[in-house]
Amino acid sequence: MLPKNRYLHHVYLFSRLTILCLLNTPIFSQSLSTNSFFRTEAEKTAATYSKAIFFSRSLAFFFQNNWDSTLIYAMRQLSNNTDSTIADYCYYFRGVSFVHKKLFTQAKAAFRNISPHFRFYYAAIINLYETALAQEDYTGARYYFKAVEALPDSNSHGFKKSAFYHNAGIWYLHRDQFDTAAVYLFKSARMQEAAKDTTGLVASYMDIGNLYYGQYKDKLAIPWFEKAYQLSKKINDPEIKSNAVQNMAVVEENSMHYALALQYRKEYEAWNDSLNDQNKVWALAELEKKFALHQKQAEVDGLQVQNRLKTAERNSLVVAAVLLAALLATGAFFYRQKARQNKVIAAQKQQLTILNAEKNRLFTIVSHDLRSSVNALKTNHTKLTASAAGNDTSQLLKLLKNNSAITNSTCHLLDNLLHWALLQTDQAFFYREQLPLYSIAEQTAAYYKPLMVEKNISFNNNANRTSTVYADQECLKIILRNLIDNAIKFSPANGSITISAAEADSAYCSMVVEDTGPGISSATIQQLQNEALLVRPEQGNKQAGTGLGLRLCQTLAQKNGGVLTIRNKANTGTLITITLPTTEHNG
Amino acid sequence: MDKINVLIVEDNFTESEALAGMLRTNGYHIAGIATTHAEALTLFYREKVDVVIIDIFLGGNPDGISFAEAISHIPGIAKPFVFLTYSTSREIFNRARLTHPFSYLVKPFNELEICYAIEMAVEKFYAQPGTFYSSGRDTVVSSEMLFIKKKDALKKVCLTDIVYIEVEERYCNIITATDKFVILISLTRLLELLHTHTFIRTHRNYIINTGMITEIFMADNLVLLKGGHKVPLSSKYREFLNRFPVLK
Repeated sequence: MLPKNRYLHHVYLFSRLTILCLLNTPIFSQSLSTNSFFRTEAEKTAATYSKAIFFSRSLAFFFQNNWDSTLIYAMRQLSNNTDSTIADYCYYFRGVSFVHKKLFTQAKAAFRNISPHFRFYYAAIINLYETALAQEDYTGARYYFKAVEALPDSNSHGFKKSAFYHNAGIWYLHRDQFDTAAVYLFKSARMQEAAKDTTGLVASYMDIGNLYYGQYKDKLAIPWFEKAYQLSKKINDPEIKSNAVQNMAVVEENSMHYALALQYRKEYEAWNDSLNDQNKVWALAELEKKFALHQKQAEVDGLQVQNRLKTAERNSLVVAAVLLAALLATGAFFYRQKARQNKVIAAQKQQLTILNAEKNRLFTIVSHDLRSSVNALKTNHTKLTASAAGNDTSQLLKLLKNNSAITNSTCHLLDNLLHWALLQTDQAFFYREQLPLYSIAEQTAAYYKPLMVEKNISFNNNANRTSTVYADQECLKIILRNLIDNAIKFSPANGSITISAAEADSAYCSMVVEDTGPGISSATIQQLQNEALLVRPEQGNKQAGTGLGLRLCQTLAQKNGGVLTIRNKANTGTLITITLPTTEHNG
Repeated sequence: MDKINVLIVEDNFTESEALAGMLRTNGYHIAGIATTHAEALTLFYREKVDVVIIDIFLGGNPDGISFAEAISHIPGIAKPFVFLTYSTSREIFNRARLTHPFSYLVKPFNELEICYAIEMAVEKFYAQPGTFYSSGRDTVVSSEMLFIKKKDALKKVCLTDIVYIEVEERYCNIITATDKFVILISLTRLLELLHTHTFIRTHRNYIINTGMITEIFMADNLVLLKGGHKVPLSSKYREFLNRFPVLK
């Protein structure tokens, strides 16, 4: 029975030892994979170095105990890393991962790379020590052991030297090196007593008990177990408590104190149950938490969907508003454009109406003039026939002369009309060249020689024979023809017409046509200056024309880059000046 | 001086007769009156024509322009010409304008206008614009003849008829075998325009037609020309003799 019990006891111890070896026991572990302080620190570092993606991944895998992935990402981070803190973390992750994969040589190499400035340097040393032990490299173990001992005993960074000593003690215990084990266990216990680390102390007492119990020194062992049991009552850790009670139960059972053993066993079961309950409660809480989380997630998802819908709605609204605004703007733009066009069209229409009215009036006047001319010719022809029949030669000649005059003036009127029409439609041929003023004046005046002779009007061409202007030949001729025609028409018998030309300066030449007529009324001059198409015929003046001739002259002078000015002479007569450019460059 | 030969291209008989009358009155010689394009071409090549007056419309078509194009595109035979037309419509002139040099006259016209138009055509054709009306000169020089405006009439003198030219103040005396007259042109300007192979300066006051030389008296510094005219030869202008092969 006893061996069996002892065996059972050993199983217990072994299980504990195995756990310790794997650094998975919460109380004694120096491993950092489950150390919450380490985790927080590591995550803080990851947050600080947000650019080191591989580091954070490797960290995540490390805490998930996914060693292969941890190794890969830590390596990647190391391959492009510059920061020493991150490098230390990575080496540590790799080292621990190698330990878990039982690749101790690589683990050693990784741990050795960690710099002494690393906050968790002690963990590296401890790991090195434990790796050396695992490889049964006792020289190395000794060396690292000393290194650990040399570490300052502080509680910072989750390091407890007492726990380390405790572990060392257990390690020796399992190798049946009881003396050495005792040294470390007592050392640990002493330190824990000094540090008032009750939980650690309970474990230490139990292991001291185990130490003696393993050597079958039951009498020595039992007090330690009891001590542990008593002390365990003061702590809250149910696992330690149950362990202490179980140890007591086993010890009492082996001592044949069945009643006591049973009592302890019951207590143990109670603790165990509470432990299980607690676990269940935890599991339930976890499940609830998960459920709540799930619900919350669903809620959040719902809200998100809602949000998305709202955003979409808002966006579509904004788009619609923008489109509407654009449409409105375009509409307004086109409306304004149209309005402006309409305005322009209205103005043009008004102008056209006026022009058309003027044109109609011109048409009427011209038709009337033509009709009277032709009528006069008709009458004269009848008379001519009669004279011819009566062989009245003098009457015949007189009538013929009269007819010729009528034809000439009609021809002149038609010429003006034709040029006016051509000018209005911009169809006239227009070619400017150097024109000799004297010669052109002579050529034009030649048409009026008979008329001048008839009225005994003297014509003086005083233009300089070498003066030239730069103008279109036909335009200049029409201007002169009109001016001479007017001068003859308005000059009394025995009057005189004088043409003179003087180069005002090198750029312009002024040609003046003077007559000895009554002059033009200032009202008519005013009208001519204005843009009205036609001059209102003055009342009681039969000779006054439409003003078409002078208007034509003005327009033609302008077209040739010149001006036409009309003024009355001081005593009597009209003085019309045409100023034209002398060379191409001035025109 | 000779009359200028004018070829009239005009399909309207009345108008061509009136025009011919005006021209005769003003001392022109009518070389012929053509009524069609083909006839105009025949007359143009057959007669010695100096100036052509062309009606733009022949039988309702602007054949006048075609004819002007035909004669003005052949260098050497082209002559000055004047277009006649009824209208100053741009449409008609747009094509006529391409026949450079371009001068025109709008019907109806008087004698002064037709004379002026012919003079303008000659001036423009021989690239001496402004000669008759603004330069104070009266002569247009072509490669074959001088066109001289004498008392409002235009005359011509064949260069080959000229024996020599003598400078007198600002003017030049032209001496032909039969005639002698003054033209208003400076010697320098005349020399610029004359063919230098035919006309040579022998003295600061004399230009001779080399074709008229009969004898050269080196000792007396005299050149004897046809018709017995004697012209001085100054040493300064003697080198022209090197141009001739001289037997010694």
